[in-house]
Amino acid sequence: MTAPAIEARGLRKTFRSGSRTVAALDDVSLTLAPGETLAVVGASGSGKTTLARALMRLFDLDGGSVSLRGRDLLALSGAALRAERRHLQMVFQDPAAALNPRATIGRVIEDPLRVHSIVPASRRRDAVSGLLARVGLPADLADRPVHALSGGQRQRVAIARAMATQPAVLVLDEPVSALDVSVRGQILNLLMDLQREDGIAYLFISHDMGVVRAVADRVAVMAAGRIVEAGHTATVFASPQAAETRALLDAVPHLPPRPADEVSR
Amino acid sequence: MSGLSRFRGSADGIAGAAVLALLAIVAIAAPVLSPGDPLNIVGAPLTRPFEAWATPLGTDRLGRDVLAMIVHGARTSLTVGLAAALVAIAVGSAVGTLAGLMGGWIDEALMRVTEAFQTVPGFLLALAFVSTVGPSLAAIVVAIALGAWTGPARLVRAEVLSIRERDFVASARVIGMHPLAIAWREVLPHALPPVVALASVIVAGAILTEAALSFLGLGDPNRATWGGLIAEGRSVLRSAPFLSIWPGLALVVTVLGVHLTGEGVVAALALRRSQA
Ligand SMILES: Nc1ncnc2c1ncn2[C@@H]1O[C@H](COP(=O)(O)OP(=O)(O)OP(=O)(O)O)[C@@H](O)[C@H]1O
Ligand SMILES: [Mg+2]
Repeated sequence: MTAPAIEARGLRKTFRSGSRTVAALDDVSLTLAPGETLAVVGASGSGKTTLARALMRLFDLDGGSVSLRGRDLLALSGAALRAERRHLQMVFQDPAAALNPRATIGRVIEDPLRVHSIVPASRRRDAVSGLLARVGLPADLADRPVHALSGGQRQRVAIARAMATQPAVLVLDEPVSALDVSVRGQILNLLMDLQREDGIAYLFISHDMGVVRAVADRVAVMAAGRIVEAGHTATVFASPQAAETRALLDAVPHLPPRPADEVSR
Repeated sequence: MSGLSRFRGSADGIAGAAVLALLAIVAIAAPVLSPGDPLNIVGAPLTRPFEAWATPLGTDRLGRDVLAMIVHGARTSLTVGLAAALVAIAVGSAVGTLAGLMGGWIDEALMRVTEAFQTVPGFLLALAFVSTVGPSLAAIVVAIALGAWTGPARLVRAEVLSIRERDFVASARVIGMHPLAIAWREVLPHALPPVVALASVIVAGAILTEAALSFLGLGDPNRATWGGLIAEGRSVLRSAPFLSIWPGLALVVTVLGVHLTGEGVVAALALRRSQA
């Protein structure tokens, strides 16, 4: 077996707001192989976004360890951490909030190329056009401001920004739940195509079991900061063990017929 | 609708901008409009306004041209006002951004310093600084900025505290952007609009402080200043009130122009906010 793309062990995070404390992450462990999709599902408030942000080192954990391609991510800081970040990228839950509203599309996609010196300045415009094409957007969008785009277009731009550094792991925090139903399928197809081409591992956060069945190799179910059930997608869907898993499955009106029909164009 | 066209839709803004534009032209063209040193004696002392062609606004006790001194005083007033406001906003924004982004003890320390400066009246600070360092243009600019940077600092810090929680800042961290680049490129541009709205108040305050300093004889002695002119006219206020009235009028018109322009800027910004 190859080394995991990312591996987290015993993650803990407690939030304190006034006298109330919330154990948002309570001994969470997960492993993600290269090119694999692990879905993390759970009801609202179960700690999915907290898990994503913890892996991205957007705040300090209370305990646990994270290794990215075999390197201890929590031991890094400063320039070493910033350099390592190119291998681990994230698409945020709300595309309206995740892009600087004053920036142009070109700048949003160019930033990671510049920060990690991936493409020399003279060829960056071409690289941006290439990335825009990969996410199905026209190259002339580069000069448009972020606020001129629709939600679906913004999420494509966010995906292009995340793909720019050719990461080993992409954390997708409910990448389609803020989008119009009509564009969800397109974005999911795009993500599946990109994964097939680049072999990126996806940590795919969702609360929609229908989507999860279509995209995930394995599933981890979260409730109140803990992983209450984990296994291969087919197994979990065929014989759900935890009550939370069954509740999530019941929330789907009728499951899509077959993953293949749902995803392929 | 762009911010500029909204500014043009504000009557206050247009009036203020027109006044300021006129003043700026006068200030820039001062050497052409009244060549030579305005402090030279050109006529009989205390000539009344509209008596002599060469000195339409009259002369002071030494026989210096009041109009020339007012025209050159506009240079001093506007230069000092704008420079002091610029320094105050630059320093305040840097302090506020640093405090808001770093948090912890750095924030704590910077805010204590800010509060310490705020407890001392700005004019007292300026007075103390100029009387220690000596009256030069640069010293006066620094002296005024010393009392004016705290407002922008607190405002920017408050803005930064909310901006830093937004996802696009997290996204900048995720792609590995340097913290200073995040502060400069992602956070500061969003924190500045309210400071721009405050700028007119700071500029107007700076112009008045400069006038007050020169009134007290702490202005640059080699330059004609409105405050200095008013002080000069004080001893002959009964016999020749025009000596104080002309520079006083210039001061009022300038400060009014700055405030009205500020109103226009606020209108432009406010509409943009409600649209976003
Ligand atoms: N910064 C914070 N301060 C205090 N509490 C927090 C903070 N962030 C998250 N929490 C709490 O932690 C818990 C988990 O929140 P989280 O956002 O991770 O849930 P989620 O599974 O992503 O939910 P959703 O599906 O609504 O996005 C919630 O109870 C939330 O209130
Ligand atoms: Mg969430």
